[in-house]
Amino acid sequence: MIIGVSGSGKTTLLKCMVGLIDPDAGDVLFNGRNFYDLDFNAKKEIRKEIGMLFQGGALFDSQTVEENVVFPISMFTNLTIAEKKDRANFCLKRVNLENVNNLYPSELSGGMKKRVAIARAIAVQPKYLFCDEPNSGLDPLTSLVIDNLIKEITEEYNITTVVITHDMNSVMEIGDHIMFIYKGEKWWEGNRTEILKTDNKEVCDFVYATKFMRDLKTKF
Amino acid sequence: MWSIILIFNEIFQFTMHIFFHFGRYFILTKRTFAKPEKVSIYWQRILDEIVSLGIGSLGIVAIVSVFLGAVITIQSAFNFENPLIPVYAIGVAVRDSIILEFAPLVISLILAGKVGSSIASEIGTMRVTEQIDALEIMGINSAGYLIAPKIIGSMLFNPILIVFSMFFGILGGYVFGLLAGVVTSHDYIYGITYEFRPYNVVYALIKSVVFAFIIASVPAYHGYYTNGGALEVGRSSTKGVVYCIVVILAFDLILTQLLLA
Repeated sequence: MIIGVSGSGKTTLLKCMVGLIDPDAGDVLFNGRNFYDLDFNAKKEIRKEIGMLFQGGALFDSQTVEENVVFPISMFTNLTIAEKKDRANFCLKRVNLENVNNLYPSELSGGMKKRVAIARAIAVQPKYLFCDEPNSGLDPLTSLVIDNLIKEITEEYNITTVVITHDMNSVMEIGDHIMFIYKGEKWWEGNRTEILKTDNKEVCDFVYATKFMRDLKTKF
Repeated sequence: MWSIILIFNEIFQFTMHIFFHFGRYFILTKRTFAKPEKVSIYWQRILDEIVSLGIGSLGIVAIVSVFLGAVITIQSAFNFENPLIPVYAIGVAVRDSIILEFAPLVISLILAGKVGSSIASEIGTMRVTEQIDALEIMGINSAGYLIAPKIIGSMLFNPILIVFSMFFGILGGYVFGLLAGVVTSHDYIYGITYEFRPYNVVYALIKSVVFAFIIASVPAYHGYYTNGGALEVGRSSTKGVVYCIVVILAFDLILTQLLLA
């Protein structure tokens, strides 16, 4: 998990990792190969192994929920229409969405959009899943649903998931390995037990920004 | 002295700005026509674009063409009041004006506004809502998937729209010419068939194909490189249409010189 205050460079880092922004310095290695040294076709091959959950979902407005999920399957497999629909329905069911196949993204709630985006991301069985603030704009209960879904899918599909967030509930819920970014640099690294005990000022300011977390610290 | 340096600096910056956009436009065009991931999906997209960009424009093209033909007929009649000029010259003037210039150029300029703004805002919105990033992440050439079908669909259907416009323009001239009483049916029909050169239609169709490429690619370029939010999408759409019109006018001059001179 990559955490940090707004404007610290979390999303920029994520976009560098997935190849959407060229970094000013440094390498991004996929299986030992530097992504930015590869040609266009080799990059395309690597990208087929990547699933990404965007902050706003990034669902295609002109397509229905089912078409959105079927889209990557159609592009990269030669399955029949029935097989593609089965696969899409399986993915939608996996994210607890049923009977929404014919709805358009504009007809969905924020949480449903995120779930459709997860279904689309896992439709082609990626090896890596990148999530850009999966809880932004969601109520605490829906956030929890999305967090648990990300955790379950990560374990079920045995994939590596990188989550960008500034939601401490999320961090405590699903964060295995946590990295704190400050002013564009890695400032702190550890797990969710260590983050509660660290004396790093910037990390403490971030973690204990809310009264709830401060009370929790006093209590324990 | 300083003011001269500043002026030269401005000219230099402006020139570099133009070269930057030219370069980026050609790189995007090259990417647009890279090998598609799946031909069947691209073919379906081309058909969709023909329906949305082409067939969706038939109504406006018909209305504009009818009124253009009508105005040219009445204006020609007004200017040909000299008894030495035969009345059938009105038909000749309408036919040649419509076929040579009004159908390919004016209709393309109208399409630049209608279709161009739609393309720029559609692609621009996809950019700011990260839909283009989502395509790239999936390993899809976003430029090819989004822009190529629009360009090909436009190039396939624009000549049909132009022929359609020619027909309605000449028909509009005929109907309004008769209603206004400035020309008889016999004179008008004789005029539009008098010394007809089929090459003029070929010339118009060549122009329409080139203009179709510009109508789809220039606004797509501006939409594709939109950066920001809703305000920037609006700006891209406006810029796309304005540049598209300027480029069409420039190519109109170039093609006229090449094909008619």
